[in-house]
Amino acid sequence: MRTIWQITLIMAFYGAGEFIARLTHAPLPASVIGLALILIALHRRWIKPGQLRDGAQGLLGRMLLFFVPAVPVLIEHREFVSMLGVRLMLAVAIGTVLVMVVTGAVVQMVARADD
Amino acid sequence: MIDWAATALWSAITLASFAVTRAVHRRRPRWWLMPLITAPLGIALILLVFHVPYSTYRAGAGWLLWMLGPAVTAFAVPIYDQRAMIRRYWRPLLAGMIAGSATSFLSGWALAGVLGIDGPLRLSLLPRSVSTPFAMAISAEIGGMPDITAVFVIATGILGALLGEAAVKRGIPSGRTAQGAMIGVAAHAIGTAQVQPLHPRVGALAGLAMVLTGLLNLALAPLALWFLRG
Repeated sequence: MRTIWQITLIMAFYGAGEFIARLTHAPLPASVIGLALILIALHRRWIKPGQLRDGAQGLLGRMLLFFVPAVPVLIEHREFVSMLGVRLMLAVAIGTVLVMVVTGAVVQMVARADD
Repeated sequence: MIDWAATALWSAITLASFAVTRAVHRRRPRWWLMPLITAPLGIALILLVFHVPYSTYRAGAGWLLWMLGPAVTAFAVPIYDQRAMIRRYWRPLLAGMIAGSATSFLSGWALAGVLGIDGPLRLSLLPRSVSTPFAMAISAEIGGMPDITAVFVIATGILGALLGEAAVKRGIPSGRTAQGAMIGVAAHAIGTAQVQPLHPRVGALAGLAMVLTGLLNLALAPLALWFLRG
């Protein structure tokens, strides 16, 4: 019950983000404005982290589920069941490895004093 | 108008597929049994067998996808909890995010060129390293196909999550900050979700890197557009 209440509260912050985004035509997603609003509220001690923690965990723990409905769009794209699909996956795979190697190396280099 | 019966049906099928595939994956933790691979496969089979177009399914279960927005908002809490870490490591984090984002964009462009992928598909490939709400917005802005970008985002996330998990377990790179940044920048929310239970601090750093990388990419989208037209 407490988790559901806290999720509702987080969604209210998201809703406020949506409202601000529409009002100001800010080129930012509502989610990011909502995130900033929560950070401000926590920093100003209007709310305590404990009042959101279970709700945040509840949402973040289900994040993988939220991605699921995006994938079956592939049934409308039979053209990917071909060499094109293989080439696309190859581009994604090589690109991902490159990004990880570069990011890891750069952060490690800059943060030499890291643990 | 909202068709409540269809919403209930497609939501229930999505939730059930996810619950079943997650239970299977817990018993047999193989990469190809990951719920994000097997659950959509099961749903796709149902849609194909019953001749249901994707748009019908999306109208019913799309609200789950919408929940990614509030979930990104929820990252405020772990980010706030890790604020001391962030204050200490903002410099390497920022360097990593800029280098990683540039690599993601340029490698996507170059690889698509080498592999003969062009047009809107090539553009759809570019914002794949950031989380879906960001990526779809950027894809639309630079002339890609947001729906297809979402699939690339998820494929990138799955691969990055698996590589990231292996990297955290083996301690490569040795710094936790570097591990977190690497996973957040490359594999956004999917990678973050994968490492969160393994190491909370790496997870929080990945969450932070993911949100900031999304912002950075959104801010740099006009620059990308300029590059693409130039």
